[in-house]
Amino acid sequence: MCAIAGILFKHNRRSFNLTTGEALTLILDSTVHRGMDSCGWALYKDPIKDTIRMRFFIPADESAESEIKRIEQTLSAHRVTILNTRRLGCTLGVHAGFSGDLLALTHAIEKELKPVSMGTRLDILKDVGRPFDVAPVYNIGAFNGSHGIAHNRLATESGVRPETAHPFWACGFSDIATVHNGQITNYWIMRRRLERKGMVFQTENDTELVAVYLAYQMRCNISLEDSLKASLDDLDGTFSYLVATKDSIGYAKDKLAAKPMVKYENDEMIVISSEEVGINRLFPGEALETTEPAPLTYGIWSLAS
Amino acid sequence: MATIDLSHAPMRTANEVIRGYGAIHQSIEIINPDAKHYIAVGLTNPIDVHIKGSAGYFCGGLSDGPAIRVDKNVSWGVGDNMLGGSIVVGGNAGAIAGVALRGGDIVIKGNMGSRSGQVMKQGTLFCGGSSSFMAGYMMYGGRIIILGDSGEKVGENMAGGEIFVGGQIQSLGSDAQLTIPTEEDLSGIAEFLKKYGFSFSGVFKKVVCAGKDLTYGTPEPKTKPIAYPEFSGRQSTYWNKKVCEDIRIKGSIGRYRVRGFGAARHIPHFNDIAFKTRVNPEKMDRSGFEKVRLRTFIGDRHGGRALDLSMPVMIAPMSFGALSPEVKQALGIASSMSGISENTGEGGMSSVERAETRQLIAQCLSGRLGWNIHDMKRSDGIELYISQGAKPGLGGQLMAAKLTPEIAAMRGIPAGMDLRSPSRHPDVLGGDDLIMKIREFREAVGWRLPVSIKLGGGRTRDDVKIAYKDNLDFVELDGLQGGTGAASSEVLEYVGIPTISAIMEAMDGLSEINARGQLPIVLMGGIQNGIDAAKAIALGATAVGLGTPMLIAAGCIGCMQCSSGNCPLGLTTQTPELTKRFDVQRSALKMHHYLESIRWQLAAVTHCLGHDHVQELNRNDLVALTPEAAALTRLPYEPEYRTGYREQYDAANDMPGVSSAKKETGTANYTKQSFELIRMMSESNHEDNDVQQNLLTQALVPRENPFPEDRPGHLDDIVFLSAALTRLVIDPYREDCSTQTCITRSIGIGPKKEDQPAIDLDKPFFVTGFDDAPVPVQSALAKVLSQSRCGYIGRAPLKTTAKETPDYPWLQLLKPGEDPDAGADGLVYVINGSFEPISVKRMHPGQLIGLSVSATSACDALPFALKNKLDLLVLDQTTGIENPWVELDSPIDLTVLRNAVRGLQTMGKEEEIALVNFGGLRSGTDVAKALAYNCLGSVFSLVMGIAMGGSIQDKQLVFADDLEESAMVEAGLNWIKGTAQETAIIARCTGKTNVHNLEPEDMRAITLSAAKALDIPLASGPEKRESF
Repeated sequence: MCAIAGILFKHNRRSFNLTTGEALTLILDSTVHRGMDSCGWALYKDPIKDTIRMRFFIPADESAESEIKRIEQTLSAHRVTILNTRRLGCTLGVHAGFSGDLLALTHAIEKELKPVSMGTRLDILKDVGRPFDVAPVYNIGAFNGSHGIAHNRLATESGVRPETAHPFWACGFSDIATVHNGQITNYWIMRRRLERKGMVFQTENDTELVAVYLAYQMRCNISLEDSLKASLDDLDGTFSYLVATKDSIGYAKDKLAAKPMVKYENDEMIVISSEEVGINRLFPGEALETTEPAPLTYGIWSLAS
Repeated sequence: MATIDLSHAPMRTANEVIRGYGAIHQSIEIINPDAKHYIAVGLTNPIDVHIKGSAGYFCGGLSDGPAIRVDKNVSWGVGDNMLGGSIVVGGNAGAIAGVALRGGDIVIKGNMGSRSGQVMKQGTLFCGGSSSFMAGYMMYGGRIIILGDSGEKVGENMAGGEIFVGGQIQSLGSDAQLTIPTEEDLSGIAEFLKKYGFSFSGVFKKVVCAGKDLTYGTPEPKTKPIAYPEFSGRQSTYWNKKVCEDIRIKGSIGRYRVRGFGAARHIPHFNDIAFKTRVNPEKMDRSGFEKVRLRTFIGDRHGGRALDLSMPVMIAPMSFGALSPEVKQALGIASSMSGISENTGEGGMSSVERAETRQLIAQCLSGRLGWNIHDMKRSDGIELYISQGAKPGLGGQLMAAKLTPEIAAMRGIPAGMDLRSPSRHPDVLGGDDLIMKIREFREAVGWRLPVSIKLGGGRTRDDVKIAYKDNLDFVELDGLQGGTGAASSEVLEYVGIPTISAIMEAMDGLSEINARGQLPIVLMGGIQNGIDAAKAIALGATAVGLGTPMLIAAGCIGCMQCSSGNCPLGLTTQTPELTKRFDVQRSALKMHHYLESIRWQLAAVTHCLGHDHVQELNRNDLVALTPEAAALTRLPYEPEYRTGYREQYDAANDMPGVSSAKKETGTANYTKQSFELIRMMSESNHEDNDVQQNLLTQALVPRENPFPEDRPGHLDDIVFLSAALTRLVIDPYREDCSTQTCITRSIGIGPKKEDQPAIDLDKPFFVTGFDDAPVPVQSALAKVLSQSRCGYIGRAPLKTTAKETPDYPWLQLLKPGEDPDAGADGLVYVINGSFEPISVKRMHPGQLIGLSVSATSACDALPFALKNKLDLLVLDQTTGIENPWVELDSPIDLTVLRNAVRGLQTMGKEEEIALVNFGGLRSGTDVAKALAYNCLGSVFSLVMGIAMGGSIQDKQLVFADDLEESAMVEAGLNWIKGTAQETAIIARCTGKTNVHNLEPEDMRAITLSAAKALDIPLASGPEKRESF
């Protein structure tokens, strides 16, 4: 029960006068009435050579320092070379060198640490609070990359903590993140199925299930497109979700199509919001040609290669 | 022309200003709208409003009269519930344009989003471009004109009205059909186009309601209520009269049953709780408790004008339609006399009711029947109905017999239909939309009135948090015992949590977000007197609601025929010969007396417990008298507080008691004692201390524990949690829920594995036990199973009298060592006693192999079954599936389910083998419980025999010789159809579009024995969830 947002710039020629981070934050602010518990962004930054971006949750209290040490030790123990670290809000960002299998690394550490995201481009920043309060803490406005997705959350059946904020990283899969509006009503059946396949959950949030589900599909070498399609059958309830990869944003919408999602596209960019008001905020005074996806559909928009 | 700049003015101020200009008939322009929501909501003056840009949600919603122009686009719900006037949109419209339109014109020059015109009733919705999916969804009347193409399912489930499409129709919705427009239609459209400056040269197609779904086919036969001790409590038997009646009636009508009232079996309740201080009515000092303050204000959490209740009591929402106009009038009079509030319920506000009622809450339901801005404005509070305790997940039902032309006109719908209101609001599809709907209401009435929601108990802990965050002023919370005029009998009994659990969950939910005490809860559902009310308030409620007892006070005798329209007292009927039996003045006075007696009791108890104000009542004033009540409320279990009250009553009682010869009522939650007490309260003089003391003495008598400790865990003690705010309910009347079933092992994620044996069924049902039945019975069953695509488990295939071979999956039931049949689709080896490894052999690669196991053999059989890749386990809850009609005298042991499921979980092998349960299954709800518990299907036996006409005689099921095979086939098919509906309804109530997505987490136990037998949590859980 939330608001979702997404922006994808098709190419580098940009006339749009806001940064990607500013724009995503404006969409969130315009739709903040849909969920005031927490918010978050999945930002796709430029890759740095031989570097993987990692982010971990750390406690807000005085135990943070020791937790940071523990993160560093655990990573080193798994042959991750830490290049630099930076504390941001309730998270620790790590730039690291790692040439091994990210999935194996994730499986090895996810029961000990609380990874937020990993990838060559992906950085997920999320916290409890409203977008205009949280964005400055995480320096969202400075981000001006090719694409990102974002989210306002109104908690339904799981608690309000930074961990249960969206976006969720598809654990173990570089650069894949999801945001979701709606409710998966066969959550426990699907969760137990995925757990029996060795997948790990950190929360009881159903969006994490979408992320883990997609991760599992990809572990089985199923394409993102086919995974989106399969999710329409496998997940029950009502949902509109977005999934972002290093070079695209995909969506899926259930058969009831009860959760809103509108899209606006021009030569330069694609903008997605739960409501027109979010998109209009980026183009004040303009009449926009918006569309909404039909029920039981999915799709992927990619960066121009 | 005045100008309002929305880049400066907040919407609340802007709407005040717009209404101000409206009042002086001054036209206005609005600049910098930038898709802001709620522009010109609640405007009721015929002024021009020019919006220079795009508008957001609910532009011009809840209006009557204005001419609104929007230069560019609008978002969701433009012209929501407009009564008259016009809205012209220069660009596109988002979803649900013209939702619940009741008059006037909405003109969209561009394209129109999904579900436009949903539940509209009058007026014209025009789209110059194309419309997205489901235009005219559930429309009741009016006209939609689409010049371009229409998306999928146009006219889905429409009940009236007309849709004209100039372009392509992608697909028609269910119960919609194409016809040719008449000359009159076309000239009307031409006139409309001319008026708004459009031209069109193509050919219109016309979509109308086909009328197949408007009414139920066969009416449900009239029945008299069966006395509740027959089917609930110590004396009841498993295959009791009620169970048999349900089976037979489903066999004749082919659908789920509908009735009035609430849950009829025993539910843990306030009369299982006592006060910690002994209340002695004889020692009441009237002068003392007359000083007790009862006055309660509720609803000003956000600046609205609070309801001012002379005591913490409200009258529960009951509709004009379900009740006769005269009863609504009497309720209004009684509420005014007693200084409390009344509630319109669904279907609109009657002017007589309004005039008689000092404080009237207007209730808004999903179908927006009779809902309009004028009634909102003349109300004293606004309530959005989300769900109710009697039938969470279902919309209101009003059978054709009660839908008179007058009521249909007020609601704006065609008369003569069996009205089944939508299960959810067109524009509230979650907590996020709810906040916007609430805001629209507030804007419409200038933030003057309290806004509340009505919520049925279920996922209450999470739902109240959303209610709190969505800025509601209070919540009317309704437990499982809440009543209704009409609902599916299975939902009445098994969806929702007991009232005492609902209040616990609400308090715990608010505590979890540190908001306890900040959102008033009005508790209802089986609250019958001042004692119940005091206990509810002590548990945390701010006030209580009274529905059914008000009707009992007015004379209701509990025949439970509310839905039929044949109420002999003239209460729940619209038939003039019956309604004239109801005397408004006399009944109003009786209801008033009843309310005053409640006041007396509330004051007396509050005083006796040492408080000055009723809101000082608290948990420390209470103890639990039964282990169930203690577990559900976390009150101390102190059964010794039971003693004394009955003796006190017997000693003091010189009033005529309830004759023991009088038949018990049809519901354990309103026994003949309850009826008698309420009746006496309604006839009592509240000034007469002696009478009131005596009534209090009677009200204080606790009931016997209906759940004795030796009672085995029973399926009846499991309930489902419905969807409400946290998740979306799937509309049982019109949205699909699959019952397709595949019996196979190793269910994983992704497509079905083709290389392992599987049986596909249309419904998750098997039948067994007919091997020795007469041949015509077997033959009839074979036809039933073939046509309904269900399976048979038996020693041999069913014998048949037909020439053509029946086609149904047959699983051979055999003992270890017996010869398997190559013709069987599966083999089920019966394991008696403890498990010993057996030799099994597939006769062909597609043949399923399974074991039938009991609670003792289940755990030992599991490793063997998994190791040998067996496909199926039949979990036998009886003393032996192989014995004919074993369910007649076998105890039903649910622990086999628990043992098998927990065993598989421990091994991490859940879903590696198909589970199917047998024993004591009587209904679709029972199957839903098995499915939720991880079974893939259930096996019926006795129930099928009864459905087909068998009768129970001396531990045997006997089929009379004169039973026609065709009649048995019809009854069998009907029963299966109705039963599958029941399973699917339960699944939909919990938010699933597939019955196999039911989960153990959707269930709660209401007794300790059931919680233990199935290892399912109780309806109200631990105080605080640590991690979730």
